[in-house]
Amino acid sequence: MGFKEEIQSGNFVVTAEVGPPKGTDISEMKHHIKGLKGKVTALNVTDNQSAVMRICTLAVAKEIMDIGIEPIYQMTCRDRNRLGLQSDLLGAAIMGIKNVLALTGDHPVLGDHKDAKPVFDIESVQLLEVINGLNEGHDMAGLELQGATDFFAGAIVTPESIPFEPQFAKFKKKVNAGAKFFQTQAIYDMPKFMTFMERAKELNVPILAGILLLKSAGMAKYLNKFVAGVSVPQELIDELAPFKGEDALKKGIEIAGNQIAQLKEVCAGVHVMAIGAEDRVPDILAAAGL
Amino acid sequence: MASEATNVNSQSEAFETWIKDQPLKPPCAGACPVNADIQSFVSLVAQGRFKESLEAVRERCTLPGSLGRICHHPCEGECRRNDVEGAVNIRAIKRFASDVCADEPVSDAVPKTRGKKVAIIGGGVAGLTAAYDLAKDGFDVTIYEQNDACGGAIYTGVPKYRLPKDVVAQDVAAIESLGVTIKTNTAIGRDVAFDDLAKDYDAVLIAIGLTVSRGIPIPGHDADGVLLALPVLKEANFNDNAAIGKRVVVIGGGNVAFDVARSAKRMGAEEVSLCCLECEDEIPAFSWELVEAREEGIIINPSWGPREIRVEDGKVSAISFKRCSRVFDEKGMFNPAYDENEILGIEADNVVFAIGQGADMNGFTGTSLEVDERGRIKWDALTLKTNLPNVFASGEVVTGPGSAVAAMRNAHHAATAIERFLTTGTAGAVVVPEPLAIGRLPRHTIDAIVRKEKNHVPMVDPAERVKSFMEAEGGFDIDMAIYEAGRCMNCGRGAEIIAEKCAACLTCVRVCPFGAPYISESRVADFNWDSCQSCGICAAECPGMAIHVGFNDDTLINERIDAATSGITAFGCQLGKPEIYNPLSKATSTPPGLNFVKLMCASRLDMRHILRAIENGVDGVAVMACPDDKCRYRKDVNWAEVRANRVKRLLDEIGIGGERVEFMGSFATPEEAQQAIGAFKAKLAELGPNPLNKVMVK
Amino acid sequence: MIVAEPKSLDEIKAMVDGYDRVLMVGCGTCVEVCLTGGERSVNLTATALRLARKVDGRDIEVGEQTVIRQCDFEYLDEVKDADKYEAIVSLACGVGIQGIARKFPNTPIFPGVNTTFMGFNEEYGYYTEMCKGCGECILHLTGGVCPVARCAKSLLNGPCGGTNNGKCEIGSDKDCGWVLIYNKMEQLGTLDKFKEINAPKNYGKAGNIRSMDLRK
Repeated sequence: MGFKEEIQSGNFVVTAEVGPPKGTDISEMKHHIKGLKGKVTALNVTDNQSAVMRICTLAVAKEIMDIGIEPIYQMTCRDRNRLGLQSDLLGAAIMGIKNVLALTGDHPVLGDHKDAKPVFDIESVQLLEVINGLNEGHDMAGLELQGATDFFAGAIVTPESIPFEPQFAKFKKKVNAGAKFFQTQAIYDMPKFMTFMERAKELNVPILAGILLLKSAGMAKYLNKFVAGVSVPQELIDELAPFKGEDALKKGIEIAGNQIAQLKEVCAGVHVMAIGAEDRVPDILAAAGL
Repeated sequence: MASEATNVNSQSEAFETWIKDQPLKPPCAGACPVNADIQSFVSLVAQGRFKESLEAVRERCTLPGSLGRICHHPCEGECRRNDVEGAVNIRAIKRFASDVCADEPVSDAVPKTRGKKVAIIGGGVAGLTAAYDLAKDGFDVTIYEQNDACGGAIYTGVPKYRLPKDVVAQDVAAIESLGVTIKTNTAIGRDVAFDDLAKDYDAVLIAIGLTVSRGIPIPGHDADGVLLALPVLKEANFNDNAAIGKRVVVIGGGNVAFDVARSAKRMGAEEVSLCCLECEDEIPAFSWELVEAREEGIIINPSWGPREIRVEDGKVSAISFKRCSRVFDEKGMFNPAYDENEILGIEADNVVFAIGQGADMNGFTGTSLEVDERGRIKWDALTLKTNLPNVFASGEVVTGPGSAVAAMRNAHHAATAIERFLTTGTAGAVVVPEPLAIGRLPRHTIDAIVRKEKNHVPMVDPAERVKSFMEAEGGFDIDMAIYEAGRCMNCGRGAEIIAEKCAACLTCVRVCPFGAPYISESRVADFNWDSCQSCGICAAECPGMAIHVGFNDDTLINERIDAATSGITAFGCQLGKPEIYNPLSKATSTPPGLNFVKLMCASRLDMRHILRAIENGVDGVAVMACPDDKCRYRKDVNWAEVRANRVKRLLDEIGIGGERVEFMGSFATPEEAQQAIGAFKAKLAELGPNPLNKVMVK
Repeated sequence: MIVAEPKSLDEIKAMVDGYDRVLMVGCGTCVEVCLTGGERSVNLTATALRLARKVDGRDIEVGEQTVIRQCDFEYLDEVKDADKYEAIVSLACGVGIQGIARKFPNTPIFPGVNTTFMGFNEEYGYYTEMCKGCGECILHLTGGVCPVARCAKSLLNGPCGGTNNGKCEIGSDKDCGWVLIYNKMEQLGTLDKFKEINAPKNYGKAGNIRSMDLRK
């Protein structure tokens, strides 16, 4: 079964992600991808993540498919206007890509080409509608396609965003716009997340909780300070604080594993982000008893 | 050198034109009978420019030392600081300007360019004032004075404890120095015939005042020991051994009565009572006279009318009074009513009548000058003319009793009338429009004004001052005078919009701490002068350069900036102290190499002013702004510092270097300022000369 | 109003490097109101330019004039003696600069300011961008707060994940436009409108060589 079918049949799914490198040497990336084969249901491939220029998403998705994993094609609206987005989606379809994650994208000022002109011709909600249209056989201008697409479109939500209400309102809009699954921003505060899940029930949409591997107490503090919508509770920081290096990483893996175990009964799955430590994803899953 | 160019209100042509065009005058000048340019002389004292201040006083108030002591200062009554914490002590500032310059050489004579001669009969306040104006106008003026010196009532009548005679002499000398001939001990009718004067001179002014005291023909009025006010005062003024009885009763409630009562005390009287018809609230003398008289132990008995003087052995032994139930009738006419059942008796060695004066017209008997049935000169109040074509009259002889400054006002009009007559050959009405003073301070502006308590002049202790005729009131020292002058808010000389340049951008509205600017119905900025404090913040921010500030006109400031092409130019509050007072020149001066450009407030400093100084070639610019808590204006932003910093950045870009501009704050003493300037000088010496100076421009 | 910021003196100086007689023209409307292009700015900039050239050992004559608007030929007629100068520096917005360039076709024109945005005058010297001139106003849908101008990404359907305690991901000194919109709509009781998906904008209305003709 593919990613879509697993979710629709109610199986607990696990996704992870791969960040394309900046440059043409993809040996390390391929190594990571290979390590995840058989461990994850599908693998996200990011789109100039954090507004940092890297290999294009489509090319890396192809590598993933070649290795034998189903990719989730992340698409942001920052770098292409509506023509570019649609033509890339058509390209993705003929390559056999089934899953698309529609995102707005970080602003260029957060990345490595701060002077870039941001596009944002359309945004995530509208992109979801565009994907629906392509699936129905027409483009944004309403013109008929010679052959429609059949994407399984998803989106993201930030359960710990402050203030929460505007975020939740937009979450609902994404569902209405055709998002069939959600991956969340990293979550750490379990009680808070449970409240979110309670409220999300009415929308009846599969949610994959975002698990971001904490590699040290320092990283946790950094997330709290600089990453919007992410807040690591002090208890977790204290838990990590005594450890350094590999020991800290092990502790982080243990924490992530615990979180996944707690989420098994609540969520449709988890999306595991182990930035820079992709090869330890299997350890996390093992720690979670998966 | 530099100090010559630092006049905040130099009477430049531009300023004069501007101020004349203003429809609204400050209330002090409006209340002043001679409309003295009070703000100018106060401001000059604030700047330490005492000689110039004195000249500004004299322009309208021709006897600064005398009036600085005895003027009843209606200006202070209208001062808008009354609504804040107390009026500016304007009279004391005027006195200070005169006193501090007491040993100054008198001015040069004015050339007699008009070829016409004017005789003035009577060297009192009115005669002297007219002489001043006419001499300044280039006329050949001669004063005929029957006494041994000029001054009139302020010489013979006003007691020495209020006005020392050397002060009067100083004021007279200044007028004489203009080239006025003064013939003392010369009485009309006795030494000179009036008709001869009228023939020999192109114009004659009669200003003989009211020199004869009146009595009341009650029983006993001719007894030994019954005296008249003016002879008593004259005795007190000119006889060092003047004496009077132990018990003295003065009849009258005017200022002269109080002068007599207080003089009697100083002549040795032990019990002095003052009895007058008027009730306490109606007593015509100035309120402070009552206070000071009571301090000196004088008993004031209001609402009593003289009834009978008891005489024993041909000499006064007592006087009785009847209760006066009213002084004026329903029509406001003098018509006293009495209650004969209520009687007051006071034992007395002397009774002094101080109930009014009349003119001594003896010198004019049988001349061509016409008088009315009561012996008063036939006179037209508008043209100030008598029946004779070239004879004018002025002062109390025609106006009746009043204040010294009122006589001075009338004399200015007389001088104008004479000048016009001698110029055109015909006399005309002298119409002086009453200036329209600006309104009271609005509440929100009062709240925004920094409180500065009033400085009072020191008074000699009553027990001490009654022992002699020493001057009772002290004057300001330099610091007190400068502080007090700094309290002036320069009302009505503030911001003015140049409507055609205004973009209604609201910048002035937003930066003004006092809520003065607003956007008018015609959609341009306008200023509520009731609120404006003349600080100049708005003018230096206005992006359209559409604001003109009276006291801080750009033209004047630029003149001062242009006085220096080397060294350091400093900008600062006029009350800052980078200067040293020089007792010889009666002015403050700056050290060599420092051009101090005084501003009403350092907030007036415009970036353009600094650039101008730099362009002129000075090596550095110091900006001295008072700290927020010392500023005479309330300010939320230290604008001078903000602008200094902006110019520093600009100078960095220009390539001249921002370090040539230094923000210094203000200084408590000149020494501190000198030190800071010295340090800045050393820094500039390291930087070398202003690069604009060493560059050869092709 | 149109907001502009001053160009650095270095930039202006470099632009007019080849000229010895330059006319600096201010504009008495928007840029005067935002304190960058009125008579005062002309005087300060002209003086600074003159001094900077003096420091370099070269003289420059800088004429100064300010007109009511540089975006009207009738007001540009007030610019006198332009032929006596080799070049013109305009402190008007981009519109005015082009106006004066059209008025004096044979004179090189240089911009003295950078035109930045259409803004609101918050207080003395402080302006905020409020309108992008998108040509398709939707303020009635967004509680009177413009998402095009006040969201860094001009999003139309709610805040992105970068929203952080009411601030924008591009800078914690900038408000998140969508939080402002949400709060305003909540206050107005119009949150039901928030649920509706706003369609992509017609950027054709914003991007073309625009003109408007009301003459018919």
